[in-house]
Amino acid sequence: MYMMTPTLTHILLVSAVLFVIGLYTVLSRRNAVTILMGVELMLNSANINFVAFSRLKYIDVSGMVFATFIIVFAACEAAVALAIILGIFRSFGTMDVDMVDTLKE
Amino acid sequence: MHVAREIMLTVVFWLIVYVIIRSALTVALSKSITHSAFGLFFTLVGVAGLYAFIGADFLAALQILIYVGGVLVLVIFGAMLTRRSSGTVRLRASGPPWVPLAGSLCMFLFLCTGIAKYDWNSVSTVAKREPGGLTRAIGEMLMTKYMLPFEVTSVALLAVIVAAAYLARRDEPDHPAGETK
Repeated sequence: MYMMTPTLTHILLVSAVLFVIGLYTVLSRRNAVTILMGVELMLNSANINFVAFSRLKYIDVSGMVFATFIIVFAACEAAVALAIILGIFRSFGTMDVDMVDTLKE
Repeated sequence: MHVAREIMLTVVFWLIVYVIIRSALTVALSKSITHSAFGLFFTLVGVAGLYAFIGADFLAALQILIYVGGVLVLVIFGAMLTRRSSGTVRLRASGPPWVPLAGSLCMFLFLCTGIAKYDWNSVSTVAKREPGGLTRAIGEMLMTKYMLPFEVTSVALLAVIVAAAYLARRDEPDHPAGETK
């Protein structure tokens, strides 16, 4: 039971797993919206680290202020990215990021 | 009494962790984009629960309001607007599956060695709650020490509103681009 009691290390491990799942999503998917979902997972894992350190290691609210900024900028990023994805979909007719390769030619 | 409380907290913590990881795996592995969006919903709610668990009430509320109420709705809108036909969007993997898997595993091992390298000295499982709450402290911090980032954020939000509206706008059908009146 002692090993199972949640500590900062467990929370860091959870955040690492979440980051890796987000990374896998970004690397393996071809649909742009799903890639965006993976980016959101990675941002969330970074946020968990900020809040966990702020609450459990250094008793200081600065980490939470930074987490607040990250949440706001994640919302900004999602809005602009989806606008760009809509533009790509309108001009290419696809959301597959492997098909949008006109810069290569 | 103390032991019972600790067992209960442990069970709650691992339930939250299960919700987060299980739904994140749904996001990563599901074949349908709607399932991925729902997985993202439960992941975000689980992260909010984790924030509440470690005593960051303000962040939990913010997570629900902005992520679940804003970002997730945007993502679902994006998934629905870019749908070709009425059928569900089938997701395909790109390239051979072992490449992202190997990259992710390397990253995971790197993170694990980083975490295992230090003794984090974390005795406090659940930090004690301040009577005034953390919201007041965060608000004071935003208005004093982090005043400049706060103002820059408001300018960035304005820029994002304008940029997103400009990018997502449709061209006028009666005045196509390149046609002179």
